[in-house]
Amino acid sequence: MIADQEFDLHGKGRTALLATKAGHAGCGYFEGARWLRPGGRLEGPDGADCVAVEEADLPALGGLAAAQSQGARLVLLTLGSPIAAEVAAAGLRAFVRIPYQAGEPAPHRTRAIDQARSLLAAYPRIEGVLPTPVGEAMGLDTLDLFAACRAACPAAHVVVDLALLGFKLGQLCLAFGADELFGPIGAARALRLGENSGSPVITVKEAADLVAAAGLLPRRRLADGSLAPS
Amino acid sequence: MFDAIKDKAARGEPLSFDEGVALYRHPNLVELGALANLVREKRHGDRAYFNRNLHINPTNICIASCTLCSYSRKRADEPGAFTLSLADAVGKLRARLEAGQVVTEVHLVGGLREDLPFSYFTDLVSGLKAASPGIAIKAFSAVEIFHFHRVYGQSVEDILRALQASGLDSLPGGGAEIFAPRVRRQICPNKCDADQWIDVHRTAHRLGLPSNATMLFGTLETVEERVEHLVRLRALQTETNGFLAFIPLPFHPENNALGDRPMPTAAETLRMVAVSRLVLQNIPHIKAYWVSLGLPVAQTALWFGADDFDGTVSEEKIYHQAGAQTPQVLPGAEIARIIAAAGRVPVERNTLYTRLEEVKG
Repeated sequence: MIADQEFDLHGKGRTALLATKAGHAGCGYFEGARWLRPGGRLEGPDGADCVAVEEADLPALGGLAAAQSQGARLVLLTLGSPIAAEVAAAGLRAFVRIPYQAGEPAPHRTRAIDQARSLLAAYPRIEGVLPTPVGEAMGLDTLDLFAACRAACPAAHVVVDLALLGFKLGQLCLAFGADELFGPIGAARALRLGENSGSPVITVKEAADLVAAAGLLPRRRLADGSLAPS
Repeated sequence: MFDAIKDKAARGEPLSFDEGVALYRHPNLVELGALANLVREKRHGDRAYFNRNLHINPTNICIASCTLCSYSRKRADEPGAFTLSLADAVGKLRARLEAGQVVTEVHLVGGLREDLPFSYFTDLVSGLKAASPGIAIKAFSAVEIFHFHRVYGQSVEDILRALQASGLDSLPGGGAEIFAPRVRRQICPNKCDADQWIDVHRTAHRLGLPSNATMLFGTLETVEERVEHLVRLRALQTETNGFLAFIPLPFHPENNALGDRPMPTAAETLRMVAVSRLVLQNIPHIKAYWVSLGLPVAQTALWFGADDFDGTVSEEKIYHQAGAQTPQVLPGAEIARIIAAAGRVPVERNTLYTRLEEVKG
C-alpha cells in the first residue's frame, strides 16, 4: 500500500531507469545462485554460478569461516548486520537485504534504505541491496521500493531476489531501478508442471533474455563477482 | 515520432497502423506506459473495475486440436476429459449462491463438440438463468458460435437468436487468438478464421449482444501482426460500437505443443497493454486479466492502460492447465484490496458496466 505517498509510478520509473543506465553503463546483470543451508545442504539449481549464504544461517553452519570453507562466496546480510566487517575482512562478497512489507509507512522504508546505504558506504565489499518482501510482494509496492533504492544508491547494485519475486515481477523491477537478477538461474529447468509448477528456476538464456527485453545489456556474473565475457 | 503520436493519442484520435507499430517498438517502456495511462485516466480517472463472476467450462472435449491449447482433450475416454451435465453446471452456480456468495455473471466457454445436441447449450443457458434470474450470462466465444453454425446447420444469426432467447446476455472475447492467417494456420487451423470471428461479433452486436475481444500474443506472430489485429478490432468497433472490453492475453507455454516457446515477459505484456489502450481508442475498457497476467503484473498494468481487473473467476481451468500460477479464485474483497494497494479506486461493476459501485479496498 502506497496510499500515503504521492504516487507517480511513471515519473519514478523514468528517473530510476535513467539512473540505472547511468550508474551501470546501460548494463543489466544476472547471477545464478545456490543457497548453502544448515547441514551443508545446497539449495538451488545445478549450474548456478554462486554459492550464497544467509546471515541468519551462519550460526548453524558453524560461523562465517566454516561457511566459506563449504563454498560460500557471497553473504546476504541483514540490515544493521554486526558481521559486515568480518565478511569484508574475509574477502567475501555481500548484498544487504532490505525487508519491506505491504502497507508499511513510507518513513519506515526510508529508514531501512538509509541503514543499507550506510552499510554500503562503510564496506565496499557490500556490492548492493536486495529488497526482500516480507509476506506478499505485490507489483506497485515492489516497484516503488526498487525506485527508491536506486534513487538512494545510484552507483550500487540494486538486486532482484528471483526466488522471492519471481521472474515476471523481477523483470519489471529492471525498469524501476534494479540492475541485477539474482537467484535460481541454472543450466536448465523442468517444465513448470505438477510438483514443479511453482518452481522459480529460469535458465541462463532466459535470464539474459529478460534483461535484454528490459532494455539493458545483459551481462552474466560469475561466482567471484567478475563478469563473463559478453 | 513519439511526440506526434503522443499529441494524437491525447486528443483521442485513431492512430495509424504505422504509429501503432512505432509505439510497440518505443524503447522506453515507462514512457509508453505513461502515455497509455494518460489516456486511461482521461476515460476512467482513478477507477479500476472488477466483477463477481463464475467461470464454468462445460466440456474440455474439443475437435479443434489447437497447438496453443493445454486444456482440451480429443476424446471422452482420454484421462482428464469431462463434460458437465446440465445439473452439474447449474449446481456449480447454485453452490456458490447457497454459500452466500454474490455472483453477477457466469462466464461459460468450452470445447468444440460435434456429438452434443444444440439443446445442450440452450438448456445450459436457460438453466443457469433460471437458477438466478438476475445473473448475466456471458457465454460462447465466436469460435463456438461459428462451430454451432457449422454443426447444426443454422445461420450464425439464428444460433445467436436462439441462445439470446434462452437467456444469453453477451459474448466473451475468446478465440480471436491472432487474426493473421499465417499464424492462425499454425496455432489453430481448425478454428474459424478472422473474418468469420469478426462476422460473429458483428452479428451479435446487431442483435444487441455486446461482447469482448481478445488477442493471444507471444506465439508465432510479429509485432506488425499484433497491431494489425488491433486495427481490425477497432474497425469493427467503429462500425458497431458493440465491444465492451479488450483483453490482451499472453501465451502460456506449459503443457501444449508450442511449449518450447518462452512466455511473453512482464515487460512485453505491459507494452502490449499500453499499445492496446492507445490503438483501441474507441473500445472503452482494457482488461488486465489477472489469471493470465499474474497478480503483480495485472496490478501494475492498472498504470499501463488497463482499467479492469476482471473478476472473482472461480474455477478457471484453461490457463491453469497451461501453467498459470495464479489462484483459481480471488474473493471480491481481495481484488478490491489489490486495486486499492495500486493507488486506484476499486469499483465493482456488472457485465455491461452499467451498474458501478465503489468498494472500500
